[in-house]
Amino acid sequence: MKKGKSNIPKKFQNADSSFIDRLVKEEKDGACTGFKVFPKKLNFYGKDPKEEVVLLTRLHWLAYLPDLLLVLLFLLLPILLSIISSVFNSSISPALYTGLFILGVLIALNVLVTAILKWFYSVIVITDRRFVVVSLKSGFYHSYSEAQLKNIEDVTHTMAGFWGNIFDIGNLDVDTAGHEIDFRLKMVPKPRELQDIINDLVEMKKKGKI
Amino acid sequence: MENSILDKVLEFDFGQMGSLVILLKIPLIIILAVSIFYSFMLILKIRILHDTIDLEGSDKAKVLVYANLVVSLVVGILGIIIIVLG
Repeated sequence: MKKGKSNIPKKFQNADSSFIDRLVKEEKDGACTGFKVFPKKLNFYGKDPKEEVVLLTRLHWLAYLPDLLLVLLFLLLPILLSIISSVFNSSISPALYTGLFILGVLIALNVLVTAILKWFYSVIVITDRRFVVVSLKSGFYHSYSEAQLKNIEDVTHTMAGFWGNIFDIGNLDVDTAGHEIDFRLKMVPKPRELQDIINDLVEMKKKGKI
Repeated sequence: MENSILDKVLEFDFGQMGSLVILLKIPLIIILAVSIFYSFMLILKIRILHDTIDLEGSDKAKVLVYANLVVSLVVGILGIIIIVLG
């Protein structure tokens, strides 16, 4: 067993695949990569007792930038209204102004908490058996999709323009066999590494190594 | 006929807009109530998500959502009282 691989489950320790060393390196690089390698405290609906979670990752924080801008807008709304009312020389009653200010703060708080929850619960989980995507869109809507590794046929990554090059983020497309759901993941950190991990796991699964 | 309507509009005293202020207060109160309801909805959503996927730090997310509900309730009710009495 190589040094630094102690966290890796037995079935992966002798695996002749590039992704294991890459995962170990990712984990050593720290939390800023957004990858959690072989997390122990992770359970999801339908997880089998002997199923090993290989990787947990979240979308890049840039995916939540519009939410953060919305928070700023709602915080600035009362100030903007006061400027507009002073320009047009019309006075808003103090109670109404206070109400608007409280409303702005309340909406901003709710949008911020929703954005944090969206970041926290929108995850991509790769196990030795399946590929799971949980996506929280709002306080009213979330989705849970999964595909068995044996059904994955093609994995493609694309870099998302200007910001993609700066922050090393991109899109990941996972195509599955038949008419099942295909995955279109946007703003994923280090998409080529995710692609390599999925491809290696699919190959190992098809060869019966895991 | 058209001129008389225009005259009435132009003669309207914008200083006496009490009824307009009340009209503006009603949507504000409704939106504040909706915000409080949304905070409550987030708790229900978190409960479902906690059953779906149990991640490291889920408890912190739960605390955050409950704190959000408490703050929303206090601030929202305070806002409604200020708007109604103001």
